[in-house]
Amino acid sequence: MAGEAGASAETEHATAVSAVSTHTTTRYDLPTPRRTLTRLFRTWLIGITVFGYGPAITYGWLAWLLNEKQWRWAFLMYFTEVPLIGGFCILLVPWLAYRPIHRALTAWSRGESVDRSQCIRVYQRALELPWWVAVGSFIAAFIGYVVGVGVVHWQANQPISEMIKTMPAIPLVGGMMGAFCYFGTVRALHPVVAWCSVQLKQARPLRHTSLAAKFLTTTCVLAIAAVCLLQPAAYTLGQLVTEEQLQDRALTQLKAVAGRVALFERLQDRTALLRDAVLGRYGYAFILDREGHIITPHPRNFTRLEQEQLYNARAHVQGREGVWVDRVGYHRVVAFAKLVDPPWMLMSIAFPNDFAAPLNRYVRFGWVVMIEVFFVVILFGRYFTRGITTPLAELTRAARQIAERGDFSQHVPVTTTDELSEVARSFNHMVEELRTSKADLEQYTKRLEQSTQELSALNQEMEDLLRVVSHDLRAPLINIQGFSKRLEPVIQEALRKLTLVAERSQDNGLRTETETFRDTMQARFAESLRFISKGVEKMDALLASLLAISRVGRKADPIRPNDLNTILDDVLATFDHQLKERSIQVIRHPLSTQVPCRLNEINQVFSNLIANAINYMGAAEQRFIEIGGREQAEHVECYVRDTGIGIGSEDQERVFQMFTRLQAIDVPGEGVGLAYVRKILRSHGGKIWVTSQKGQGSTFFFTLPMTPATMQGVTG
Amino acid sequence: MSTPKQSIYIMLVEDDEGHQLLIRENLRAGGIINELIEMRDGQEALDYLFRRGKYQDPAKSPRPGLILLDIKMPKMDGFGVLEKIKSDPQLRMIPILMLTSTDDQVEVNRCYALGANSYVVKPIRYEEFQDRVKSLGLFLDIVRFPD
Repeated sequence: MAGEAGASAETEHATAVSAVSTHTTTRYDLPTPRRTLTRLFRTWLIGITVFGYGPAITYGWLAWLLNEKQWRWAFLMYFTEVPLIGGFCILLVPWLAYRPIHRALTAWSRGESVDRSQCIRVYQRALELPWWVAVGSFIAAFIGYVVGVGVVHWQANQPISEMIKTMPAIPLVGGMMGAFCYFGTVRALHPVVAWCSVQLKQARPLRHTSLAAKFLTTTCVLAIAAVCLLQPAAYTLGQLVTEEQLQDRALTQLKAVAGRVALFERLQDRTALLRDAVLGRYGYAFILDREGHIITPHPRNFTRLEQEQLYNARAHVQGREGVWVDRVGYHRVVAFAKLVDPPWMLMSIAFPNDFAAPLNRYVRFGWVVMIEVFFVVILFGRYFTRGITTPLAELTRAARQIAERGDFSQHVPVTTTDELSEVARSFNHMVEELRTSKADLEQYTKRLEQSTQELSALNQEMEDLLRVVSHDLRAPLINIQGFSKRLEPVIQEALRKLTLVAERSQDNGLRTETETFRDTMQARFAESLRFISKGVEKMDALLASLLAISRVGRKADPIRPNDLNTILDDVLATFDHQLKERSIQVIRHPLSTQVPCRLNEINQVFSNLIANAINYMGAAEQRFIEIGGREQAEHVECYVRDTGIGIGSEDQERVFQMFTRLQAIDVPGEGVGLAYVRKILRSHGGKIWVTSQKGQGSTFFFTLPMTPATMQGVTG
Repeated sequence: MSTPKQSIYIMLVEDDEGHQLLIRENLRAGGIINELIEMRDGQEALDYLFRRGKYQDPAKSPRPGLILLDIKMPKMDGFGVLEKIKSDPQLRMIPILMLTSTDDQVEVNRCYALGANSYVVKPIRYEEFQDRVKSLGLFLDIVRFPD
């Protein structure tokens, strides 16, 4: 990294780009419940085996090494903890907590729809579960310890206060197992949390745990666990050394006393001699007779006689000479020596604790070490986490600045050499990309707006043109029609006059000529006037259609829910006569009753389509018009089917263009009808199309949206 | 023809000469014999009504009893003239009949909103116009038929 700093900015940029682009995109699939469960159980099993059974096995093995008689007690002690830990921590508490997640995952993997609130619950639970596991581990370790060690102490008839010495087992087992299971559970549930988070988009965890708190807790737990593991080990080792030395001393002294005891006859003298065999503050010695009864006064009353009987029995088995350590509860060094005459036995019991003052000092020192470690961890952890959280806080601030204010001038400083620097660099790169793409987008939007404006201006111009043209062209038409009509009476008068002239003319030639002229004139004038009139009327109709087209979608005619059946009733009533005259049958299917539309315009749609169906019916044997429709999710679809002459596939788009008439035959119309219909439907947000085959009739389909929202986009 | 004093004048404001001729003939053919004051554009009509310029002499420019007003005209269109007339306290009493080229509802509504009394769509058929004029009950008090 330090070397790279010298490299040019472009290389830096290029590596950042390649780092980003080579990264494979991860898709967050729904984790299967089985796999998640397997991963969880695997984690918990490792936790329990390594951190639950681990110390148990270690200490059990150690106990077995030290004293074959007592290893089963130690095993009992440590193995009692384990079933409790297993049952409580792994099978019960986290399982109960995990059950809702498992149920939800099963339902989702079956294909059930993902309910948002359920998803939020699963998300929160999956984030909380590691804590449950950690706390559960700790509680389990505590209960396991109290029950397991308590049973052993009770069995060994030891005071409960002795348990304090083994208390580090709780943080040792609970802390290490808790920490392991915490991180294991986090890892196992990561796919669930990730999936839920992606589903929920902007989900925020209920509880915020700072990275620093997590790090410090973990480090402290591990440090304490380490100290707890080391301290008993050190203590045990120290104890072993003390006990080893004490065994030698005890046996040597006892043998020396046994030699001298034989020299005295009186029991008092012998008892007095026993004092030389006593070791330490609490140690004591006594004489047993042949039957194993203590014949010297018992010097201590805090121990039960049975225990000495036990040692006696053992001494008999071992040949009445030797030394060993009893490690249940208070450790005791038990030494015994034979007297030759009388055949009694000397026994000395010493407590290593009496000689463990330096060891105890070291133990106290161990606690000091532990507190020191604690502070060191906190101090170093603080700086360490600062190193992580400060760049993260900078990132968060920059990201928020961008998200909330759209401020793309943000640049996060790269202040570390670890993965965080990669994050910062990727972030800067992303911001750069966003900035350019936002600028591009703005430019495109501006261009789009501009062209939309141009287009709508053009459209408006076109409509204005249509309106003005159809409006203004009508004025000269009125003149043409008016003045040509005005000629009619004059022509009639002229014709009448010519007839009169012809009748009264004496000259046959002139009469014939006049009559011929009169007939020609009559024919020409009448014909001309008829054509002029017809032309003007047609032009007028055409202008009216153009005007109608220019008026489509005006705000004066509001969109309201209408019953298409009623509209069709009205339209068919106007065609009643024509349909009967041409013996065309009408087949009707029920149409939608609540369609938002402009009543007059949809009336025009139906009447244009039906008029077309009638006009282009042709000479088929079966003549009918079928009208029907169906409702779909967001729009209604209607159709008008006829048995007419049909439209060739090459013309099916052309029929909707203005002034297009496919037939030269004598069919009324200006070639505007379908263009008008299409414009009406488009202004409603619908569309029209035709399916047809030449000679087979045609079917015109059109759609109207059911939601006005889709229409506003078109009309607005 | 009756005496000019008693007659009520009808003002026709229309820029198209042909239309003017046709309307005049139509009125005559329909038996309406009132004197016509013919104006070629909106500005001229307003000058006449407000007695400005060459129409300053009240004797030569009598108040019309009815105005037939075309909408589409140069200089000032029918709407402008209508607005001016209706905003004058004296002239506002004169009934106004708008001549429109289409029955566009927006245009008609605007006429009524500005205070026009009625409207006639200029018909393409010559005969229709007479029927329209005759059918207007509005004229009964104003128009004069030959005795």
